[in-house]
Amino acid sequence: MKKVRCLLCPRGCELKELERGNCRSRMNIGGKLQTLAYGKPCAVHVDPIEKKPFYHFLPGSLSFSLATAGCNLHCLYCQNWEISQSNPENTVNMDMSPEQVVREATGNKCRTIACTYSEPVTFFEYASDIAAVAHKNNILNVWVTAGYVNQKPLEEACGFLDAIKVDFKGITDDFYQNVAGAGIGPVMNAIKLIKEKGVWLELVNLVVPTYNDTKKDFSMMCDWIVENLGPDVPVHFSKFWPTYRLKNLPPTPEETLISARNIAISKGINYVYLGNIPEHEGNNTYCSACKKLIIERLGYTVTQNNIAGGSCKFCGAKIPGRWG
Amino acid sequence: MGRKITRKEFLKMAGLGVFAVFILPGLKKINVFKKSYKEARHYEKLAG
Repeated sequence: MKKVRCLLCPRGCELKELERGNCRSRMNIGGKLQTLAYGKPCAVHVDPIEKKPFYHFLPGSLSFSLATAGCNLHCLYCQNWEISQSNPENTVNMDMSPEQVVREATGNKCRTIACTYSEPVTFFEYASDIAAVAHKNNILNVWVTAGYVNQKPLEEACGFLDAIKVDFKGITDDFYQNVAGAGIGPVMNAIKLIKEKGVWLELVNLVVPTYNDTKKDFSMMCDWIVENLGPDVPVHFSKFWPTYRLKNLPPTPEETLISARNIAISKGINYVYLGNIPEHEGNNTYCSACKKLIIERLGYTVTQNNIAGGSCKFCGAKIPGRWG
Repeated sequence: MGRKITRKEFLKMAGLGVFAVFILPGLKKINVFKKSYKEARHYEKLAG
């Protein structure tokens, strides 16, 4: 039987008959590359869109969120390792065709469908088919991804996605190799491509004590963001909680996250958020022109929204994002 | 009291046990597996 090479992500797995790819969810069967988890999500929930997190995309709306097992990265701190580091046949799965996914999303009054929790790149075909049906039903599509994907499939994904949140895990290749088991280059290229294609983009940096929590890390990352993406891509700094293979580390101190946010603002990034610090101004959105509070959040709940027609109600400045 | 189990009956029960414990789960996995897969899009076939 013939070998195949997967072209979805930079790993480029070359697979003999019945050999499985690094992501666990693709296999060479009969000389053809097969995706093993099509229509078999192992996690399905209705979440507020702020949980993804998306803060500049349909605030206050619900997102029908799903994932299949597998991932092409192997991050030491993965919160969802039980599904991301599993084979699809070893998780408890539902049967859900793309049409059923959209029906459930509609029934639950969700404005978006989010492919999230594990890694949507690894269930590309399923995600793509869901998006096609979703758009026919006026439901938008978002991905929560690590961005470790080749340019060609990403260009195709940008054609059917409305927003993408990328986990920008660190700013050095060493960090990516040590923590995620892959290089940083493809992720940076992916982020730039998403921006170039005009798909709404937000970034999350999970701050891990002793790994990527220095002022130099934050400075370098923010410099890269401003230089390559501009000042208007929202950046979320998120608190690490001990899990999976990093249970020995403490949670990220709040002071570290506050410092990251201050550095980002000083570098000119207009929208900087803190994840998991309740009642801090880092949960809210401020107009970059008049500095007034335009969206107030308590946890995942929007308690105040002063955006009208995509602009600040107070001074009229256009606020980047998709608001309705 | 009951009669002794015959060799044939014993082998039949042992065979059923082996099937239930070792072979049936594997068959189940293959069945689940077959329903879940679909040809991927981004790949190439290699020569040789």
